[in-house]
Amino acid sequence: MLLACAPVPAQARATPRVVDVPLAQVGPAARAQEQAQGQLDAGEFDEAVRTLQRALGEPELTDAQLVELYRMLGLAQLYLGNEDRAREAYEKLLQARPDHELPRGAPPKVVRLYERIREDIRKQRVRPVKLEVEPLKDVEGGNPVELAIQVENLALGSRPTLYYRRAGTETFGSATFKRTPDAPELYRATLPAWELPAEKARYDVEYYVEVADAARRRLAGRGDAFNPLRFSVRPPGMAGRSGEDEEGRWYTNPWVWVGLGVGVAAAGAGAAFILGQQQTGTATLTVRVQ
Amino acid sequence: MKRAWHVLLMCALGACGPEVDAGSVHGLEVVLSRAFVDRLGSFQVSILAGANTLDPEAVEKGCVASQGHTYVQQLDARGQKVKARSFDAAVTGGQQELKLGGVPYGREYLFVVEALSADETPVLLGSGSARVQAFQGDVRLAPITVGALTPTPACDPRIR
Repeated sequence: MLLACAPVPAQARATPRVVDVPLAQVGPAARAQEQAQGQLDAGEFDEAVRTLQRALGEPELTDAQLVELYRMLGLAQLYLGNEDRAREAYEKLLQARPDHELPRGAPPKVVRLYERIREDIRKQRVRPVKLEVEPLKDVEGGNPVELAIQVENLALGSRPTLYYRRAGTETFGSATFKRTPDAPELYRATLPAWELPAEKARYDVEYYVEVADAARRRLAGRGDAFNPLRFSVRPPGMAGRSGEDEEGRWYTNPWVWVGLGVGVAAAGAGAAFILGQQQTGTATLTVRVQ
Repeated sequence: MKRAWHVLLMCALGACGPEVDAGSVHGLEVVLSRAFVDRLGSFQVSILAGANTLDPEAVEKGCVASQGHTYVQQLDARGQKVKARSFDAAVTGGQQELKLGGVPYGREYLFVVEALSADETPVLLGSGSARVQAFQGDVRLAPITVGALTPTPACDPRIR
């Protein structure tokens, strides 16, 4: 039936102009990278450190950008005589790229420190990622919900992700956690209001949090697709109640709804059409760089 | 289930014919131009009503904000109605998804994606659009890329 009613989509109007821009060059981090390189070349190491730290605070960075930023930060700190800070930067770099080699022509002092750090990392036990999640409580429909988590020892290239779905549906959507600028270990993700519409009846949303590396290997998590966490979305104006309170209430008896459903079906047929005109949907637009 | 009911009823009421275009999406292929990626700061997405009366090429030549069109209001991340959504440019892994929510079902929408510079007072670097004859349910538009405008028009692209 659906197919029979579905129309044939019209052809897209296209005016393609192909470019070959490396994606790592897009955005403010790329500009900071260039600026920091210029400052290093000019011997302005303090300024370079500030530029790089500012760039590392950007919310969206590619792995390639992170590696390059940490490489330059390590170099700048070493030139400033801050060996401990240089070590921190190179440790981050080597966590993500254990086989990363310094460019040829790197100063001998840098090469020696780099080799020492690499050797230390080889002997060092990998620190496990630590994840703390404060479970979500029931919320009122029609409002966004923010989930805050704390992640420690997050390796370069790894990211926490929030997966969610309405209980009873099959697939999980996802939301990206963003690092809080003032607290580097604190991450926040927002479930937008349109994913939690206000309805007349309470419904549940299942979710889980997963920290995965660049190869999508799970490093830590709270809940999973088979055993998700859960919270309820209640109708506007209804005070939060615990699950035990609801048991035994008349509206939890399925026979009540069977009876009501028969009566409502006829009226619902007309109402569904009218309501359909007022419904809203989502649209996903994909911007590509080719 | 709700959608199936809806379609069933529409068919029963005689609304299912060549005129009805439920669920179809008209995508616009544009390409993110090399000319402005270094200056890119954000994408602004608005939905204009009455796409069948609009000339998309004319719309893309300047700032939508200064063209006096009727906007289809959408919901921002806080659930408030807005004329346009703004997304920080974060093109990673070859693409960026811009997700719009709370878009009311309707006909003849023109989705306009504008690329704004990262300047304190942004300028319009490029613009692309996609016409949707019937917006109904969750849809995924065809890949959109945004072409460069040279010279950049002298207008404030921010839709408030």
